[in-house]
Amino acid sequence: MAQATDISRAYADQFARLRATLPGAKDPKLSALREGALARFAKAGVPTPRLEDWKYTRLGALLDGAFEPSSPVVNGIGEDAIDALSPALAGGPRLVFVNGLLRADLCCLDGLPAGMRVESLGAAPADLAEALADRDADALWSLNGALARDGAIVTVAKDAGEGDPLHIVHLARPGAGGEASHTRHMIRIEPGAAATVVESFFGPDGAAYWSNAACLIRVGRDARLRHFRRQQEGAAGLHRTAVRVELDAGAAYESFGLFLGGAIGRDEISVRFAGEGASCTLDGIYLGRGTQHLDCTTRVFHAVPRCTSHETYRGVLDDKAHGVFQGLIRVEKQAQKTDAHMLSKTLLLSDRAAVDAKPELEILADDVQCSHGATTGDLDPASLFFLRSRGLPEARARAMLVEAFITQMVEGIGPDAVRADFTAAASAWSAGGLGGGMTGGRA
Amino acid sequence: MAAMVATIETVRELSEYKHGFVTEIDEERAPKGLNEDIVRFISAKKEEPEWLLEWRLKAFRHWRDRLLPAAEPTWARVSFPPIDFQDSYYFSAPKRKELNSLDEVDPELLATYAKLGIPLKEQEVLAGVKNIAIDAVFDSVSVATTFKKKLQEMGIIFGSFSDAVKEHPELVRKYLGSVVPYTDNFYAALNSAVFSDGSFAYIPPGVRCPMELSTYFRINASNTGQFERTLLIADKGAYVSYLEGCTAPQRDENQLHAAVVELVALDDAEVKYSTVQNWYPGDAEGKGGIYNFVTKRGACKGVNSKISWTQVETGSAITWKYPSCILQGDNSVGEFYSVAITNNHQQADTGTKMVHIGRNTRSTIISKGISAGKSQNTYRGLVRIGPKAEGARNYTQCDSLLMGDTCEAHTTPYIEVKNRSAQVEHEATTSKISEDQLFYLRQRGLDAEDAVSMIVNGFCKQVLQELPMEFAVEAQKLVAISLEGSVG
Amino acid sequence: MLEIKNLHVTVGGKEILHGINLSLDEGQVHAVMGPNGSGKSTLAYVLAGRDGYEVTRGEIVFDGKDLNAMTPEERAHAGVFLAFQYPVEIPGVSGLNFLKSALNEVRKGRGESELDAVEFLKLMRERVSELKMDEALLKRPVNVGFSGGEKKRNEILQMSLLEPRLAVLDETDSGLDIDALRIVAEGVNSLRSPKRAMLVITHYQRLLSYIVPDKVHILAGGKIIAEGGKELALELEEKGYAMFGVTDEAA
Repeated sequence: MAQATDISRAYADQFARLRATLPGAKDPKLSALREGALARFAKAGVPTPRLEDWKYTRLGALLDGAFEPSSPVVNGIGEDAIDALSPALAGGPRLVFVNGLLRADLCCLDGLPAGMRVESLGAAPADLAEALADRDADALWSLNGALARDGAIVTVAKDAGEGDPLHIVHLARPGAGGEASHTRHMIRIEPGAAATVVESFFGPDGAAYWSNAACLIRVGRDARLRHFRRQQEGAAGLHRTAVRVELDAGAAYESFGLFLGGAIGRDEISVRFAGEGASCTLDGIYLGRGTQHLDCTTRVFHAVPRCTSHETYRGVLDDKAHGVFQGLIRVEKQAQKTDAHMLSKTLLLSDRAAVDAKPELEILADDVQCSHGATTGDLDPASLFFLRSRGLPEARARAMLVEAFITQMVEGIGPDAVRADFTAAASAWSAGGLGGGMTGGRA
Repeated sequence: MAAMVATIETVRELSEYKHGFVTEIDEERAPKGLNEDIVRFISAKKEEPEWLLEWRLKAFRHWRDRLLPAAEPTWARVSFPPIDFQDSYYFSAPKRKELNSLDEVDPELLATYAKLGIPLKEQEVLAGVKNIAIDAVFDSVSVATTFKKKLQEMGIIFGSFSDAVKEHPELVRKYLGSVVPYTDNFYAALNSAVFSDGSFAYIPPGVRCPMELSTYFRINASNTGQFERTLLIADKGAYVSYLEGCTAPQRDENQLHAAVVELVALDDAEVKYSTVQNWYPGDAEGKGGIYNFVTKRGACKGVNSKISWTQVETGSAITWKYPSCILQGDNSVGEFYSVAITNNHQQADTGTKMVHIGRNTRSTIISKGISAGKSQNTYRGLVRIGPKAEGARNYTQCDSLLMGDTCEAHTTPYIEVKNRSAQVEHEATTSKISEDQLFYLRQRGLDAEDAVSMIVNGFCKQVLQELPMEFAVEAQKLVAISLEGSVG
Repeated sequence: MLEIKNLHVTVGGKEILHGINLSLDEGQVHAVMGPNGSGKSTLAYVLAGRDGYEVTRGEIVFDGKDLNAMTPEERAHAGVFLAFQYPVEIPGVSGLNFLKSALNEVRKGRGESELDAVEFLKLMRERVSELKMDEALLKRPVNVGFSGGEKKRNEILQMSLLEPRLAVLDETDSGLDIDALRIVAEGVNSLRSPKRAMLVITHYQRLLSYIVPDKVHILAGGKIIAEGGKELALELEEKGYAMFGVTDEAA
């Protein structure tokens, strides 16, 4: 492990090299914002398991040295290749980022829903200060803010109806390895509007790379956002997504994540209720095999009365995979009539798989309904026995129950195209073999 | 049922901490402060063998050189000003001669314990419902042990830790630090260096201890820390039920209580350990009270062994305590039943660790937290299933009850599973006393405080019913008293 | 014994009862009938003193005392008993423990001596067998896991133990099948006495076939709109609330 100060210095050097080319470089206020973010990163360093928040996740190669900024890829990828990654979503509106930089030639904005406006980070100087906000950030969010070269700013106008899902594709094309991209998105849904956004992350197996994505979301009064994330990085990829959501009164936010890629993956989502009567649903499923480490961390802050949050996470871990679920629900003193529930269920399919769960409640108000539950174990022996008694071989019976465990989550996805896309990805994972036979890596 | 009626009556009688008196008694103290000389002084006072002094010194040096520079642990959800470890007395004992029988115990002490409702005279104990052998610890020194002879006839060793060091050094040396090594944590290291006394029990193979063994702890002196050490060994096939109670005078300063309890259960042995913790909690403004920083751990070393912790935590300004089970033996069982009540400015960060190592090990955790006033109440628990713990099972239920919107209830469970055949289930809820329940009981004639007390006792019932009968009654009263003034 | 005069009651800032007048003498059984939303349960709760049910005008005089000035438990001690429409579950508190505590509180309130465990059990067993209840139910936590019928019978058992002066039965028939209804009604009838009055609140006439009232009051829109003998209930059964020009959402 390298000295944390050496790593911080290396990132500071990167910043010095890149700063003139970063969006907003000419605006002194934005420069100061980026410098502040860099300083906060330097102070905290890359998180280690010594931090309570990172107790169960060690960021491997990120602790060994700084990752270089990834290089632009200007050709060699066709629209067909992007379509093939998510056939069910092909043809719909999409943005494509390769190595963290927008590839306009691969984007498709024809079917963009009425009222939805999409800009790249560099093309929206007026919104940059908001998008690069660094309040209450952790070190990786700050590093992202210092180094972000591109991203999408999505704005949905007041009372706009929900159209087709906007698909934001992130594709890694690492060179020699040890490269990082830091995309910064901002999604704003104005009052009364509705929208669906799907984010996908793909990369090839092989060289190690780091995808450090950050997404800032604000859902206005009585507006609604459905947000889907499919994380299917390459076998040596390091992935971290941080999503920060703020909900106004009566707003609804629904998140669903499917996490099955990368050597180390951490999906972090924080939701803050800023207005009364809002609701959020955070659902996710993580599927790990080989030596994968998949971490889902959620935080829900109930700061105002009468909001509802429901979370359901499921994990399936095979081989030597390691899963982590951390969930925090905090209910402030004034947040009376809060209704907050969290459930985590994990299946371990191999003798060497492991899971760590930390479902936390911090309650400061008395008139609330809060609960959490967590279960971990093997498949239900009674169900297994039932299937076998009907003539199914054990392996088949097990596979069927695992698929059912996954399907129960995926089938609840609302938009047809997204459901089809996620179902296909989950089925492909299941078809990759279950029961400790696999050694990792995927197509 | 009778207990409940008694509860309600007691609530009427008592509205304040009733154990807050100070006993005027001749005491002997070590000089203030903490250094190697103090450790040597304590060891010399107790006429300890060289190996024990060496062990103390190792613990002290570890604490001073490795732990103190990093300061006290901060991960618990409690806050208090830094403790000046040099500004306290580490040894305080009632002056006494060698005692030949209970009749020689200082009458002031006997009176103190009588005031606490703990009879130390055997004939008085005998007049009670059931036999309980009591070891009374007054400012860290064991002052009296009842029924010693009767127990001896069965081969049971029960008495003060100091006596055990003298009479059974081989047992003490074998097991001391075997469950909680002095390197374990800040307060365990401190305790290992300066512990003054405590209780020791050994139950020989196949013996079922015929009576409850009990230690009653009392802090009396001011400006002293209390560092007692309890070691309980249940040999193969043995059974023992052990009770522990604690009280302290009302003082404006905070006093540190840093005890260590080690339990060992060999093959087929069972230890049931019950605590009713009622140290002085400080006044309504949060002034004074005991810092209760305790390390309690049991090792189920043998196959089919069982360790069960039951605790009712109502006292102390700050509680920091995680009675744990290391489930080494195959088929061993760990249980943790806890009621933690915080009121006014009390802070509690308490829970358990269940470490499953052996096959088919099982554990159950039932935790009931009640927060009132301006208090903070945290459940912190670890369930760890090791890779070899084939067929392990854990069931955890944590329920919190909030009374008012100025208190806090937190639940921080850690669940770590490394074996696929293990089944771990965790549930947690947070709620308040419903208006419907209160009104229903009041419509039937109960006043608001009685109604709350009844509902809260119902909420805690799963835990209270695990206590031995003698303690259950006291615990129910405590539940009611601790919530005094919290009904709005 | 009970005199309700021009009673106005507000719940959550909204006036629900708009000037109720009703008087009830010792030994009498009166029925209050009304459609959903007419204020029946409000009347029951305000008699028992539930928080949030505010008397803005008028008075309730019970045995010469101002009921409105009393806490719920003082009313219970004075002899007011409410059989709840939805009896409340109280986890962890055994039925026996609850009954004994309540009985002794009420006895103390009446200036009677408390019963010891033996006396209590004897009395309780008598009443349980009169009501054909299963004693095992009382060892369970109060109302937890009880069927609808068991809960209602438990209410009647409490009434028979506490021996109130005034029993208010709030929709005691709701959720009961015909057999359970008969048993509960028999229990209530056995408790009729010249020293006790009852106010039977119900939506339907069927309960009144079993518990025959001396007088029937029709409550609609927070007012008593008609009064009469037991035959009024039968007429209502035949013609529905529409005969009073009232619509009933549940009918």
